[in-house]
Amino acid sequence: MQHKILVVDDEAEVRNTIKLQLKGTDLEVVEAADGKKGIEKLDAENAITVDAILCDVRMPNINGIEAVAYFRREYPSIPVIVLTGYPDVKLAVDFMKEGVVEYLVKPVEKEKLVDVVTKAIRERSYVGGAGPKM
Amino acid sequence: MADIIAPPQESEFHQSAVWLLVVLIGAVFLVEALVMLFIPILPSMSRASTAFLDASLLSALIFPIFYFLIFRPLVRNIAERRHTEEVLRETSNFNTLLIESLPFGMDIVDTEGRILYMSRAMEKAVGQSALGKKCWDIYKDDRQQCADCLLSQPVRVGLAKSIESTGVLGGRIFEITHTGMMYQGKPAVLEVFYDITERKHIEEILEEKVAERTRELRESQAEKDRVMGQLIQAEKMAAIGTMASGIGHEINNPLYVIMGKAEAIRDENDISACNEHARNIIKHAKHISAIVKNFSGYIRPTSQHEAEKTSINEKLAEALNMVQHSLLDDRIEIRQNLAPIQEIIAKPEEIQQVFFNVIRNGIQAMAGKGVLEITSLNEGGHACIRIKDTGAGIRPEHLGKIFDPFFTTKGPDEGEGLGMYIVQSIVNKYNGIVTVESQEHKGTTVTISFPASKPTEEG
Repeated sequence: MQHKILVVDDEAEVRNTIKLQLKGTDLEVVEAADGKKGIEKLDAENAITVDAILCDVRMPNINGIEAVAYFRREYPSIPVIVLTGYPDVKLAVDFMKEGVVEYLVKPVEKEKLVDVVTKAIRERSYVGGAGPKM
Repeated sequence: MADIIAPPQESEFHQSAVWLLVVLIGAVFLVEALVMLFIPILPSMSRASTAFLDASLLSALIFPIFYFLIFRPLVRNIAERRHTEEVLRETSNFNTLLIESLPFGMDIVDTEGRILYMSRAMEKAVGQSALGKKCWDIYKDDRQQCADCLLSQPVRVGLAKSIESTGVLGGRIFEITHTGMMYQGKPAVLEVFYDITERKHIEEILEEKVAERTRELRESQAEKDRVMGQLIQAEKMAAIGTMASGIGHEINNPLYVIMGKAEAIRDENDISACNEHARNIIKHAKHISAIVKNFSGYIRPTSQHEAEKTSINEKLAEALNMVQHSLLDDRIEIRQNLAPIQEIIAKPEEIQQVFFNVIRNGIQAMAGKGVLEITSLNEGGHACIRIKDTGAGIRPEHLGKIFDPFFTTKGPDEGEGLGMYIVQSIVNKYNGIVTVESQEHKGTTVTISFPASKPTEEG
């Protein structure tokens, strides 16, 4: 079964790499160049339905901290995975408190990324359906 | 000085001569008038009497002519010569008195160095009359002619030169001035001896004291530099600590791209796709290399560097780049207005440290949102850098303390309060000035100006 992943990262090279790593899996990537665009993708009237969100931290307009807080508040059923270059324990703890599934520090291996995302989607399916906020 | 004999006054000669002439001519006319008056009543005069009378009158007229043309000039010449001799004698006496009373020794030697004359002071110093002997046999302890003796050169009348001679008259030091002259019709040299032993001794003591003081100052400056170097290094390490996650982000992002591309190459069969991935890997590896180079240059102690021509704009860009690494988001707008300004002679890492500290303060003051404006320009022969933020500003009562070491208004994890102290220390080291203007809740402007570097000989 094909799952949609919203990848929110301001660096096109990083988004391409994520796509490359998820190539050949049942995970389809939907891209957003920053937190604001990521929120817009979910909030739009003809909003897409995603099964998981991969979100960076440092971004223009709306950064990862604010975007994740919004995702968790408005779309609590969508698992959020933070994928960042910041090896910051305090930041990681804050995100975990926010309810993110995993705090991944780049560089992350293909197998690990696929495993974490797949596991997040699977575990989410146990607790409720994916989709826009209720 | 003895009285000078006055020469006979010229007017006295003239006055007496005029009177004598008037008297003589009057006498002749009187006699002739009496003869003319009494001829009619006198019996005829004898021829002898008339001849005697004419001879007498002629003599009366010739005498003054003889007197004034021959006798009087002769007498005057003799008087003048006597006067000149008297003056010369007095002058000679005066000169002798002057020379003999001078506190330093003098002598006159011929071109072979034989002593022709010695002043009394010289005789007293030598303790003997040494006329006819070679001067170095008398004065020099080693009885050797001075290496730079001016007698080894042709004597030039009126030309004076000085040499410094050690080991003279029992280990003393003399400055000897040689002046070329004529003495008794032959070329000779006047030697004037100044005993400078005490002066040299005092000079040596002074030089030692100056050298010692200079050494102390150098040591003190070296210690100051060492402590300042340690402070700067500590501040750097603290800054690196606060930026660690930012640096990690800067490196981990391209590293992630490299890993993803490498994995793709591993799983890819299409050679052209592999080539594309490899190119990407190389690009991002270079990016990481540049970041590491940037930071390793920053971390290295400044004592390992030498002052060199340093581009201010380049160091501004590097400092800004490093501070930006620590930003979690890009909502701080950076405006740069960098004019092509002159380079300065400085340690590049120190200048980078100055800008890093000021930019970091500005960004921290804006708490994630605001505008940081960086301007560089040439102003009145100075390279000026203005860093303006729209942050919280500095309270007026804190403004006077911001350059004090360990003064901080930040939290415990944001610095030790050495940043602006180090900024001022480094800027002052390069004769620059740093000023801070701030309005609470509006922002702060830090202005740094460095004097223009003097152009080198190479230009």
